[in-house]
Amino acid sequence: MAGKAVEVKLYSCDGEDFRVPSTVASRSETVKNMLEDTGEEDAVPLPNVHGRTLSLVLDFCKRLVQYEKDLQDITEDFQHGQLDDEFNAWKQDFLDIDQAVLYELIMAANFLNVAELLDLCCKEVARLIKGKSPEEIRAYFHIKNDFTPQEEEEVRRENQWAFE
Amino acid sequence: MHSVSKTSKHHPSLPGDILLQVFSQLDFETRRQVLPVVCKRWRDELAGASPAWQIMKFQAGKFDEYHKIIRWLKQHGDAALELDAAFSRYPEQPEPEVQSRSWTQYLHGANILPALLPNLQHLKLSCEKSFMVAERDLFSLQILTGLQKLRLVIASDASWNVDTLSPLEHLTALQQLYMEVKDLGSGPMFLAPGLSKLTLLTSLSLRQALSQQPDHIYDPYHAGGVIACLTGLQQLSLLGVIDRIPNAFSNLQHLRTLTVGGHGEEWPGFSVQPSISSCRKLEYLELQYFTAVAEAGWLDAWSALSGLQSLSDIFLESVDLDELASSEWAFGSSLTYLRIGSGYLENFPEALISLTSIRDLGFDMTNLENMLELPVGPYLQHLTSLDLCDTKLAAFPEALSQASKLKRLCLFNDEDWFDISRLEAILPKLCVVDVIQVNSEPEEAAVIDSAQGI
Repeated sequence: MAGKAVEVKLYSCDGEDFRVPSTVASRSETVKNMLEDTGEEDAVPLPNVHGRTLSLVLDFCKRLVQYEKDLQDITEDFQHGQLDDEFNAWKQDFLDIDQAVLYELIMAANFLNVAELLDLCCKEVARLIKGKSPEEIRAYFHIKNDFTPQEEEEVRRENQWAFE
Repeated sequence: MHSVSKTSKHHPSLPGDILLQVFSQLDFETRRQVLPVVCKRWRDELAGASPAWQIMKFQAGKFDEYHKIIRWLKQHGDAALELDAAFSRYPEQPEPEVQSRSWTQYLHGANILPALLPNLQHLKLSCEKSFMVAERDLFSLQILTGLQKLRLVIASDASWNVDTLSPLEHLTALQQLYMEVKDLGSGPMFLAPGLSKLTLLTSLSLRQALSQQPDHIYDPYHAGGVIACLTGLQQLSLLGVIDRIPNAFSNLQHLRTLTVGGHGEEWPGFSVQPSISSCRKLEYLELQYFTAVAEAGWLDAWSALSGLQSLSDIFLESVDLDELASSEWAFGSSLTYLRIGSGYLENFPEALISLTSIRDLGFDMTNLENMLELPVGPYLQHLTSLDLCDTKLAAFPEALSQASKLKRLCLFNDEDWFDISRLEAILPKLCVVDVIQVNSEPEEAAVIDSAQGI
């Protein structure tokens, strides 16, 4: 067992500070690079991320680190599936957020370069899109239809298969 | 995406690369048919994405074009999921000095293309004037075992036989098959018995050019036998295909849409027969170029329609309905849409008055001159949409005065018999009117009026 993990300090754009183990903070490639440049003693300012969003990102990173640690510790194959199930259930709860927060999370995951989180959020947006018609997607995501009726008809026609 | 927020105006759009990452999680069908229609940005992001996203389209008529295509496919073929290829012209043979191995490959083009596209899921291949005979085209396709949709427009020649379509037996992942045959040279077109192995098929469409001679037709035995085995079919379209197997549709219990058509007046068309009554989920029925519906077998089939509780749409084109008595227009109450084109409808509208479930009615080249002489008022009261194409309606628009729920009216005609100026007063609920007069003076707009909110 390793000794006490080194803690690093992160500052959000609205002045909140977070102290987290460097193993957790380093799940962000952006933070990891900054820590390598400046050292782990210095606080890392994150001017593009609000505190409430950073908190979520760090929650995710903590859980991810825990999951990976648990995976290393398992001795039986069946435990692998069990851990996956638990992590998936956790992710499902984690994504129980409204669209605005999801959007901020995507932007933060992108800026902080947390690939697993970005992937998770993109899948969630895709899930929300799946099965909806163009009209339903526009309504759900508040997207303006900027096609003229003729343009829209043309796009539909171009993408049609012979069977529809 | 403009935003995933409920308050989207407060957020900028997601960056293009994230948008594409979202899209990459969605199935091909959604990426192809839904996402580009949402907004211009989504359309443009998809159009500018990597080859794996793109629908490859090309037309090859010259050796140079073909050569470029092959070169491109050698680099990107693995990533291609969909190919739309048209060989619309005969090749222009290159100068002798540039004739080479590539030219040989060109002559065997259909054999090469599939090998370069191992992951293809959707293929449209048009070779209607191609140098390639259909048999060779088809043979080369059999390695595309991941194909889910296949659309073929092909020329055929005298070499067609019962095995010509056999290579398609290997496409066991196929879900949709459309095949149109042009310029049939001689002999019948056979539907290979092995196609009955394509059990994942949900959509099958077989068409032959209307110019074909009567004896150049799908083999009657095999077509019916194969179709009877494809029990997962939800959509079936058979045009220019004749079959007299009485129970061709008995097993098609998942069928939702059915289109069958003959070749003209001398052709009775596909004999649907009473087995259609087994298609309990049928929602849409289209019949084209049928005569003598009142024949014994047909009357049984016609009667069977009344038992189909989900049948909501019927489209009849050039179908002889003349001998049908009013009592034989007995459909279920689910029928809400009816189109009749070039119908011999001597008994209309008397025959249709009982069909009070219909909300959307349309005619093309049908004589409705006697409409006002019959008690059609109660019938018209149910209509919300009416199309009158090349269909003269006496005393228009007063003839429609009882169609008080009518919201949409389409008038398309090469005469100027209609006067729409009084429509507003007669039909106050009308909100969409499309009026097209074909024979307007050239300097005048062909579309006289296309207005909303009259």
